[in-house]
Formats: sequence, structure tokens, C-alpha cells
Amino acid sequence: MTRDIAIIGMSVELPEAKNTDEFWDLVVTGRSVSKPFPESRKKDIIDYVRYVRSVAVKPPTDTSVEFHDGYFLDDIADFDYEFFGMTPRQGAMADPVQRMLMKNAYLSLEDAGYTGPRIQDQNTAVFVGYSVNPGQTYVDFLTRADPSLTPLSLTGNMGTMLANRISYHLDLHGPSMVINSACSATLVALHQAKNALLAGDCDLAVVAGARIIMAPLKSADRNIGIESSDGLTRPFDERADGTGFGEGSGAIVLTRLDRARERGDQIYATIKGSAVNHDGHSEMITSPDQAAQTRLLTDAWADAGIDPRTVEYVEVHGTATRIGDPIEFEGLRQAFGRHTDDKEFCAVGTAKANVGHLFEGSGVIGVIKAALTVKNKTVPPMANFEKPNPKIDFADGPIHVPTTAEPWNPAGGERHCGVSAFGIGGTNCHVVLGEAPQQAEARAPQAVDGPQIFTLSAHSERSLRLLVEAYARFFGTEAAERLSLRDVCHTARVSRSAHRHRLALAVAGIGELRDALTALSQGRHDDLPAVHSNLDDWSGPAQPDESPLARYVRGEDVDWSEHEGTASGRIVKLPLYAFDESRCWSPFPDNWAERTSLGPGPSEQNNPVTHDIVFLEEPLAADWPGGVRALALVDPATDAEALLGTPPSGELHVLRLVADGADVGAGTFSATDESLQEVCDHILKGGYTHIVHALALEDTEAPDIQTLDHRVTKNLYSLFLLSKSLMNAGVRGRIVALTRKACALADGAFVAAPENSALAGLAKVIGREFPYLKTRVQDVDEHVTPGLLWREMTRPEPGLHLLRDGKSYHEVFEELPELGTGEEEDYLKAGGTYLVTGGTGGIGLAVSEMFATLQPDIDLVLVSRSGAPDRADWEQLIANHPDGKPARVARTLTEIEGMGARVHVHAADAGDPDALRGVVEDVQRTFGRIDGIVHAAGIPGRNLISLRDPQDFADVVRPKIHGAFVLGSATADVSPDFILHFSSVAVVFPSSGQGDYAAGNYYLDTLARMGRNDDCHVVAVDWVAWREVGMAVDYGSKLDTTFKAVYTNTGMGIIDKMLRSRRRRAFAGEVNYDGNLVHIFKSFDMVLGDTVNTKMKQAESELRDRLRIASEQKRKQIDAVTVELTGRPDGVYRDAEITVARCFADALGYPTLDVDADFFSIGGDSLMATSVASNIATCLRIEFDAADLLMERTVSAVADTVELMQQESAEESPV
Amino acid sequence: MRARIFPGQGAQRRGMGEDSFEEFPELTAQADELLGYSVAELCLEDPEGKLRQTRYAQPAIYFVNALLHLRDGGEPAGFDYFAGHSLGEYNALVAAGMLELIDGLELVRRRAEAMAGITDGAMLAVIGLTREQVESLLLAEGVAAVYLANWNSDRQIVVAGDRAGVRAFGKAAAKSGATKVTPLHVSGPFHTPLMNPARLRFDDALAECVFKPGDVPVVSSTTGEIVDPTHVRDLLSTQISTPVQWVRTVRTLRELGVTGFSEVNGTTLTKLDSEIR
Repeated sequence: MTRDIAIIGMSVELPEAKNTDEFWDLVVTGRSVSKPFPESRKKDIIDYVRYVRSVAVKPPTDTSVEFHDGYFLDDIADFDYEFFGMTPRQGAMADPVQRMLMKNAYLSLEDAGYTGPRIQDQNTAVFVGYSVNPGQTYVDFLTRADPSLTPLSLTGNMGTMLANRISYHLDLHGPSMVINSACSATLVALHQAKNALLAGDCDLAVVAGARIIMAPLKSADRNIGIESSDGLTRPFDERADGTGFGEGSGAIVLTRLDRARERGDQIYATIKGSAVNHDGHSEMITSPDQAAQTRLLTDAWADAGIDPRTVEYVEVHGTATRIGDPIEFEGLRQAFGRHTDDKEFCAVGTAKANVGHLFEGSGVIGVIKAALTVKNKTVPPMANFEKPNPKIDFADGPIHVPTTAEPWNPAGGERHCGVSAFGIGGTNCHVVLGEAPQQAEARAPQAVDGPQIFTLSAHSERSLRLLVEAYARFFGTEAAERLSLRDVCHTARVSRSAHRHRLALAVAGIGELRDALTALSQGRHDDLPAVHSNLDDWSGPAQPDESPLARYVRGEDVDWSEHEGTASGRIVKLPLYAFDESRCWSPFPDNWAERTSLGPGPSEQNNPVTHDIVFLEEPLAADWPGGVRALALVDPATDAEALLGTPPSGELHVLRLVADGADVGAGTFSATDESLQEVCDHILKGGYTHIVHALALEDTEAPDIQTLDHRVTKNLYSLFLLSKSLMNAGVRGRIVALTRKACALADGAFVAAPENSALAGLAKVIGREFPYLKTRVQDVDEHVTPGLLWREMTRPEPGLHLLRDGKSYHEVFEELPELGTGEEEDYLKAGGTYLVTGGTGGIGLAVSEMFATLQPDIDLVLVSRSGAPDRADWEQLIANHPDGKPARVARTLTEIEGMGARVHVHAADAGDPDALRGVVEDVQRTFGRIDGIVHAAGIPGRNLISLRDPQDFADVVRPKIHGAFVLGSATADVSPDFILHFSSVAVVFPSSGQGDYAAGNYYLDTLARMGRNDDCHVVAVDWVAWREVGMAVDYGSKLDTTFKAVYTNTGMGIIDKMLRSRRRRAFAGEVNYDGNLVHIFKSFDMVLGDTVNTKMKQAESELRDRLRIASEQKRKQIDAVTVELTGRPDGVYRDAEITVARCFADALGYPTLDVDADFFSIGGDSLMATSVASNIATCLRIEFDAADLLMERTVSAVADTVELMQQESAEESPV
Repeated sequence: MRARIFPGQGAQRRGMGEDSFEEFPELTAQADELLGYSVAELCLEDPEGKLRQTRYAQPAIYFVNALLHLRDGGEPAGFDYFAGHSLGEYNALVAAGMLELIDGLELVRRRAEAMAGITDGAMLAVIGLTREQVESLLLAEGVAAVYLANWNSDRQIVVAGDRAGVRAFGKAAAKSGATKVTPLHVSGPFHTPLMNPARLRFDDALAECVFKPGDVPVVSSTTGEIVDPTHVRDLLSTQISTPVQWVRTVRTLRELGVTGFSEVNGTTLTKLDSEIR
């Protein structure tokens, strides 16, 4: 079985060569098509060039704008977007490189005869050679001035899409990839394609490459040192001084030779072998290496299994650089020299002399040229060659440079040639080509029985007309005369896609076919044979027949094999598809100079990292509104009923708590889920305005853990269960939770029952998760009267409110720029023992490490649920699984011990009072002392109250409340110097799902505020997320939101400062004064202090200013879009529809739009939706985003919504 | 085994029940009298565009479902199980012999009245997110008082609740990769606790209605289990404010050995069935 590969289809697009015939003509006549950069293209990019220069930090020394000469395409903007399933806007957003590749890949497949039904059975691969040219890409051009185009431009400009989009468009399922090895990329792509075919990875493979030069600026600053001085490439010539830049694209289709012959494919040439290698550590990474080139050639010849002496033509890399050409010559000389002493037997040439250097696209252009050379049995001349380069001794080598075209009569019988390409990074490739096998079995043109059916089709009407013209011309050429009618008709029928505009006719000979097509193209159709077409002016008299021709033009899939006049034949070369191209270009905004400045950015502020929550006095309620129908849940063990008395007016119903397990009769309830659900049913039917949770009215601190646990269950959990039931029953109303001196008005203020302050944390979350249940916590003292209480607790403001001495206080969030309190002292003692809960967590370890740094002579007792890895395993863990959590723990502990501190790890759950107490007692026994405690244990809250399992709720609460209680009570005798509690932002600004977490942490805050009777310094810090370690990182939460996440170093600095200066409390987190986030702060039940409020207002106002400027520009842009609306018989469209249509058209590019066309079925995608929605919002001054566009998808539906929203906002705004 | 399945609100379209009204003139006359308008005119012509309103849509769908089932022979013997999506459950009960057709129409009329009375809410169908993803989005910023309302298929979930919350949810869902987010044209947050006032109102209607043991088992879209004929009142009451468990309904039917699903009045449910594993 042969390992040869057949080239069965080819397509090129180069300056002055729109197809392979024109390309061969250019090559064989030795022309070189370098020219000045086209004026029209200069216009397209001159503003971009000026813009780039204007924003350069280092302005260019040379400010003139001059362009290189080169081998440029006249136009890179035209594209048949519709044919390739794109919207006009997508087409304009796609890299011209991608567009050329799609086009040429398609044409090469058509040339091979594989775009119609025949490709469906083939597993087809796409290999594209490509390399990014920084600063010269279309996406740079698109997004430098307007970064908002980035999402829209993504699929049209990502490197991988160059191959993938071809596979996607043609529904190809074989390997699809982009290969980047710079100038050798497409040749390496061919090598990979060959291997994939031989390995059976695919049946067919398209290899393609392309290059454009957006802005070929002449500038000393930008030269890379290989540019030709005058834009001409002169390989191996005396005057060679660099390479001329080329543009264009080429694609070829490969298949295994044996398969090609089986299937009757046309074969241009064969690929007999190839090799790829690298220079290795050569002199410089960018310089070519002769030894590697020599090895490359001999490897490729060996792979091809040919005698190198039979290679009589080499398409050399030949970049015409001063060092490149002599090295390539030497490589060839030494390689051939290993096999023969013959001189000057091998001609060389390179397409770079004709069409310039296409860099990453050059390999496939060389292969196409070589294949044409083999097929045409003619050695073409080297263009631009006059005098040999004196550094090259041609007489002493195997090669010569032909200057005229010569017939190729092989000395060895069979024609062999090679193609070389060398990448700038050192990746070299050489491919050996041979000729197509003699088609000995080529059937004598068999007589055809009767007329044959000829078909043509195109995606657009214009394309079909262009195709008919092209075929009419083609059938007048010499090449057509050699074709049989049978092959022509077979090729047209089976190897071309059936597009929607169609033509079919039965003809008896090629002459008749030519005449018919000529007549059609000239608009004559009187004397035509029966032409079937769905183009109105081509269809003959209406023929309601059921012939296959009629069915075909009606759009049906016709199985031709079943019909007469469809004899099968060979695939032959016919004209290729004629695209219906129009300009697809995203103009660089001509108002770029205005656009580059959006006014001042956010003002630079020095915002403190620390804040505090203070209680400030608020005015008392002025009067009693009445209309209250309240249900109070009371604990008869407290004086709740006396406290409540009776409301000034309205109704109060009371349910009294009975112990768990006792009978719940009328007027009673128990603090169980079941009983509270019944209470909820009662509330649902009872129509209450206020639900008063009057259970947490203890006036002394829980003396022991049992009492504490009882209170947490009775007070906190009952509020949780009740609110859960109320939410799940959809009850609307107000909850008031009463507590008595549970919170501290100020540092050191007396607190009766701190555990009840946890209700304040939970209450803040209830209203957040369920806005129909606003919840107020009313904390009272002994001076409150029922009248005052009812007036205050029924006020609409949610959140925590304290009544003290007849005055009301609420929480205010304010800056705390200075943590210090004046005096500072060290807080770690040499020889001290320090207990850290959550000790093996990220933050626990960081604190331990800081302690060890400050005072190495300490014992650190780390308590955690998971414990730490066995000390004996530390070293191995660090070595073998360095990134795992156990290794991180082991590493930090090793470091801490390295500093001199002594580490002891206890596995215990901080939420298990007995276990925690056991550890504390054990430490006291072992060390006889506890000098300080860090309570960093915690589990995050992760679910809505309405969905929260009571056990999960308790699991979050217990390490905080029970844990802190045990740490406090168990150390009452030893009086540590400090207890540091890690509290959370959740006590101030909780998110949904943090009810339990906020509750637990609020208790820690209260402990710190109230302090202890002994000298122990109790501290609580409300942390926002930490950036590098801790819960937010472990659980993948978003870090910078309303607050900026804390760096570990900053956090440690705050802890150190607070412990040193004996500050009790702080909120640690820098507000993110981002205008976009400020509105979130306003949604919390928390009053903002003056400084914070002023900064937020400023951020909002700056944002508004910037948005206003940006919107004005956006509106101008949209106003400038012209689009015609269709779809309504009366032709009347509303203003909103016209604006929405402009926004659609701005993204999609259509000149006309149907008012009822679905955005997503006319080419819109989710990436576009974002920018379209934002434009609609801007232009129509409403809130509208991509999700809204997902719901309302047509111009008219969006306009309906818009008008509705405009009405609403008019109603809302004061008049 | 075969099950007949009945769609609920959302199946309405102008022209539904064409030809059926003439075939059952007596029933149609009874319905017209009970409803106080021509049900045929509403379904076929809908001159005032009322068919989209809950108040009219529910009786119309119920009645057309029932007629179409009768046209198919109507004998329960042809099917081994009945089930219906939300409102369609009433048709399932009628088909199974647990409820009289006209009694059911009266119930549905009062149900529709009660449900239409809750107006400050919205519903949203989310395509392409799993139930877990939907539940985690209920924690998103600004999403409050939003509930899972219909578990329709592995791909389609409907949420409902507070209008602002549902809106925020829609945005969060689109950001999280939902392939489609579509607001439903209904008046309130059906099948959520926010419907409880409607449920309480409807309980009065249920109390007056008579239910029978029935001849063929019905699988409930409220519980996903076989209906206990002695608890139909509770079931229909609960249904208004709890999620439609269509996925569980279909799974239960399949576990019972049902392989063929026959839907009347459109193919809404048949499409969902193919998306349920």
C-alpha cells in the first residue's frame, strides 16, 4: 500500500492571482507584483495609526506616516458573510485572515469535488498554519479605540477559530487545529495533515494559511531587520537585502493517494514524504542553522524513499536576507553532496519573488506553486533574479537559478521536487512532492446515452448569475474542450453543495451547455432548451412536472442515481464558487480623538481599611400610628407580658411558651419546628400586622453551658424556625424581636444577656432574604414603658434599635482611620501559652506564624476539627504533595517551629463544648497557664433560611456561640491576657444565606464590647473576605465586592495593632467605593455614617458623570446607524422601535430589519446581547440588560417593554 | 401501560377545541351557563384577548381538555393511569371518575378567581440549568422571595415570587449560562407560598365539593405520588401554593410501568417527558 498522499484540490488568493490558473500564469511568466500600499486601504487605517501614536507613552521619534511597498491585496474588506452563516456585523468583526481562510478552504474543497453530498461521508480535518503578529492584528484595530467590542470580536479573532470555524461551518468532524511555528507554520500543518491521514485520523484534510498586513508602516522604530528596502524579494540575487511582505491565502485538500484513485479524484501532485526538525541551541534563536537544514533535507528524502538525485526542483525558503540565502544554499549543497557529486542539476525558485513573503502563510503557497510546477511539467523562472549573490558559489553546488520557464524533462523518469520553509524560532520543514500517477486506466470517453443533467446552485441570486457567467466563459476555453459532458455533469451534480438558488437543465453536449449558459448570462432565453430555475427570469414556461430537475430547483434533495441523464463519471476541474461579496469592515471611529477621553476617572482617595459600628441616638417616634394587630410569643418564665402591657390601641394576642414535650394547648406553643409551624398557620389565617418574638428577655448572663444552650434553642432557633415557616407560608408582615440589654451601647457598657444579641444578626438576614418580612430587633432596658415600647417597636425601620434611659439608638457604620488608642504594649509573653481555635486553617496558621515571629519563645496550641498531619509525615508530605492542604499545614508548622516556637495540635470541634472544654483543661494541666486565646474557628453559612436544615443552622452557630462561651468560662480563673474573636462582615452587611453565621458572630462582637470583669482584653474584628487564605478562598466566593478583600499582611497588622493598643472592636475591610456597587450598601438595614455617605455620594456622582459622557457618545453612535424597518403593512413604526432597530443593526449590521424578527435567530448571540442591551438602555434611558433581551427578542417586543418601563419611571419620578 | 396526561395553564391558544363544542352541545351549554359567557367563543375567537388572563384561561383549558378526552372515547378503561400538570390534575380526577366534569368546572372557575386575585408577582421559566444551579441562584444578590415553582423537566425549571426578586433571578440565571430565560404570561407567583391567601379563599370552594373514590389511579403533580381519594381536598388546596412536581410525576408513572404517554390539547407535556430521565 502506498504511503503517498494526493493533493486533490487547491485554491489561492494573491495579489493579481485570484485562482490557481492566474497564479501559475504569474509564476511561469516570472512577474513580481510588488506595489505601493493601496490608497483605499491607507484610508481605512490612517486614523488607527494616528491613534496608536497619540496614546504611546513614548511618542515615536519619526512622526511621518509612510508605508512600505509590498505584495498587497487591493482589498481585504470584501466578504460574503451570508454564505458563511454570519451577520453583516459578525462579518465585519471577523479577522480578514479568518475570512480569507474560510473562503479558500471552501474553494479548495470545491475544487477537490468535496462540498456536496460527497463530503458527508468523509472524516475531514482542518490544519491551519498561523502566527500572531502583535500590533498588526485586526482585533487590535477593533478594540484599541473601543474595548467594548472585545466580546463581539471574540469568535472572529481568536487564533483557534481560524481552523475551528471552517470545521464548524462545513460540519467537519476530523481534527481541527492551528499550528504556530512562524514562517514554517503552513508547511508544518501539511506535515501534520499527512501524518493524520496516514494514521487514519481523517480521510480528507484541508491545509490552509493566510496573512495580511494591517499597517505596513515604514518606521525605524518598528523594523525587525529583514525588510527589503524597496519591497521586492530578490532571492539569491546580488541586490538581495531583505524580504518583501506578501499578503494572501492558500488552501489545499489532501487525501491518501490510493483513496483518491479509488474515488476518481483529480490529482495535482503527490506528497511523497516530509520532515520537521528544529535548529536546537543554535547560534541565535532567530538565526537559521545550516546543519539542521541539511539534516532536514536528508530526513525528508529518506521519508519519501526517493533518490535525491531525482529532485530537479526545489521551492526554497529564499527570504532574500543577507544571511539566510547563503545558509540555505550551503544546507542544500551539503545535503545533496551526501548523495551525488553532480552540479547545478536542481533548479530552485520561490513564490516569494512573485508574491512576497507570506510568513506563516508562505509554506502552502510554495506547495501550490510546486504542485503546479509538477502538473504543468514546466520549471518556472525565479522572478527578480539578475545577478547571482556573490557570496554563493553556484558552480560548486547542486542548484541553479532558472531565469526563463523551461519544460521539465526528468532525467530519472519521474518528476520529484521539494518545498522548504524555516520558522524564525528554528522550526524547519521540508516536503517532497512527486507527480500524479499516469492515469493509464483513464477510460476512453464513453459514449453517453442521451442528454445529461447539469446543475448549478448558489447561496445568493447574484452568486448564481456570476457562476453562470464563469461557466459560460470556461466552456469557451481550451481546457474545457478536453472534458467530456458526462464528467462535467457528474462533477456539477455530485461534488457541489446544493444551495438555495438553483438551475438545472438537460443538455446533449458541452456546446449546447455553453450556448445555454451564455444565453442566460446575456439575458436571452427565448431559444433556450428547457431550463429549470428558481430565479424568476430564468424559469421557462411554468412546468408543473415532477421531473428530477423540477424537484431539484424546488429545493428538494434529489438522488440523481435514480434518474436518467445522470451517468456517473470522474471529478474534473470546473469553475469554483463565485462569492457575493460586500464590504465588511468596522471603521475606526473618526471621532477617536474625542473618544479617547471619558473625563476624569474615579478620584484617588485614601480610604481606611478599618471601620466601626457605633450606636448613635435617633429621634423617638412622634406618635402612635394605630392599626396594630399583634401576636406576641412570650416566655412565661420572663416578665414579657408585663413588659408588653397592652398596645395603646389595636389588638394584642399572646401565645405562651410551654416546655418541649409538654402538651401544646390553645394559647400556647413550644419552641419546636412542629409547634412553630402551627403558629405560622395561625398567623397566616389571623391577619396580624406584627409578630412579636418576646422570648429573649432574660436579664442575667447564662451561668453555664446548659443554660446558654437552652436560651439559644428557645430564643435564637425559635426565631429561625418561625421566620423559616413564615417565609415558606408566604406570610407578609413585620417581625419584632425583643431583647433586654443583650447589646452594649458602647465599649464597656453593661450587658445582661449577651447570647440574646445573636438575634440581631439573624434578624438582619430575614428581611434580606424575604423582603415581605421586615424584621426589627428592639433591645430594651429597665426604663422602658409599654407605651414607649409599642411606639418604638412598631416603627417601620428594620435593624437593631436600643432603648436606653428612654432614648433610642441605632447602629451606624463609620470610618475608623486610627486603630491605636494612645498606649501600646507587647501582648505576647516569653514562655507563654497561646491557644488558637481554627488553628490549622489559613488564617489560624497566619496568626500563629505572626505570634511566633514576634515572640518565638511560646507554646502554640492549635485546635481544629481536622487536626494536623502526623509530625513524622511532614517532610514527606511537603516533598510529595507540595500543593495539598496537609502539606501547607506541615510547611507552616515546620516554619513556626523553625523560629523556635513549640507547636501542639489538638483535634477537637469548637462547636462541641465538652471537647473544647477538655482541650482547655488539658492545656491548663500541661502548661499551667493560658496567656492568650485566638478564636478563629468557624463554618460559613450557606443557605437561605427558608431552605435551611435546623441541624445545619446549629452547626454554624455552635462554634461561634458555644465555642466562645466555653473559651470564656473555662478560662475565668486563669485570666488570659487576651481573647481575640474572629467575627465577620456578616454582622453588619450580611448576604442572603448568612443568617446563622451573622447570628453567631454578633455574639462575639457583644462579648468584646462588654468586656470581662478581670483584666482580660476581649477583642472582636469583623472581617471581610481575605484575599489569600481563609473561608472565602476555600469556598471560592467572590473576593472584591462591596469591600476589597484583605491581604494577609494587612490583616495581621490590624490584629497586632488592636492587641497592642487594647482596642476592643473594629470592622476590618476597605469599602470599595465603586459607583457600580454603592447601591448595594443602601439595601442593608444599616445606617451609613457621614464620612462614608459623603464618599459614596461622590463615587455615585463621578460614575454618573462618566456614564453621561459615555452615553452621549454611545447615543451619537447609534443615532448614526441607518436601518430600514420592515414587516408592517402600513409602514408605520414607533420611535422606540426605530431606536431599538438601530441598536440591533449596530450589532448585526443589517441594512433592513423586520420588526418581528427574533434577535437570536437572525444571528445575534449572547455576547452581542450584552452590548446591544446596554445600548438600548443608554439610548432609551431605561434599565435594560442582556437578560431582558433574552426575554423580549424582537424589535417590536423590546419596544413594548421599553415603553412600559418609560411609563413606570415617569410615574415614579416626582412631578 | 398507558397514561393519559393533561396540560395546565399555558396550553391555551386561540382555536383550541375546534369542532369539540358542537360535538358536546349539552355540556357546552352547561359550561356557558356556569361561566356566564360562551366558552366556545372564548376559545375559538377570543375577541377581547382574554384567553391570556388567568381568570379565563383556566376554565377554558380545563373544559377543552375534558372535551378532547371525551372525544377520544372518554372511557377510563383505555388508560391505566391519569395525571395532569397543575390545572390538568382536575382533568385527571374527572377522567378517573373522582370528580364530575361540571363540578370540576365550578372548582376551576373559583380556583382561577382566587389565583387571579394575587397580582404582585412573576414567574420565569429557566432552560438549561440544573435544579442545584437554580437553587444556588436563589442566594444571588437581589434575589429575595423567589421560589422554585415548577420542576418541569431536567432542563426546564420555573421559578416564581416577588417581581423584583424574579427579575434579579432572571439576570443571574442568564449570567450563569441559562440557555433561555422566559417570563410566563401569568398574573401571579403561582405555586409559591405567596399564593397562600388564594389557597385559603379556594378552600371554601373545595369544602362544598364532592369527591368519589374513582376507578383508575391518578398520579398527582403536587406530590408525585398516587392520589389518595380521601385526601383530594388537601391535595388541591396544597397544589396552589406548592411547586408542581412534574418530573416526579413522570418518574413515578414510569416506575409503575407506564411506557406510553398520551396527551390531549397540544404537546407541551410530551415535549417535557422527553427531557426527563
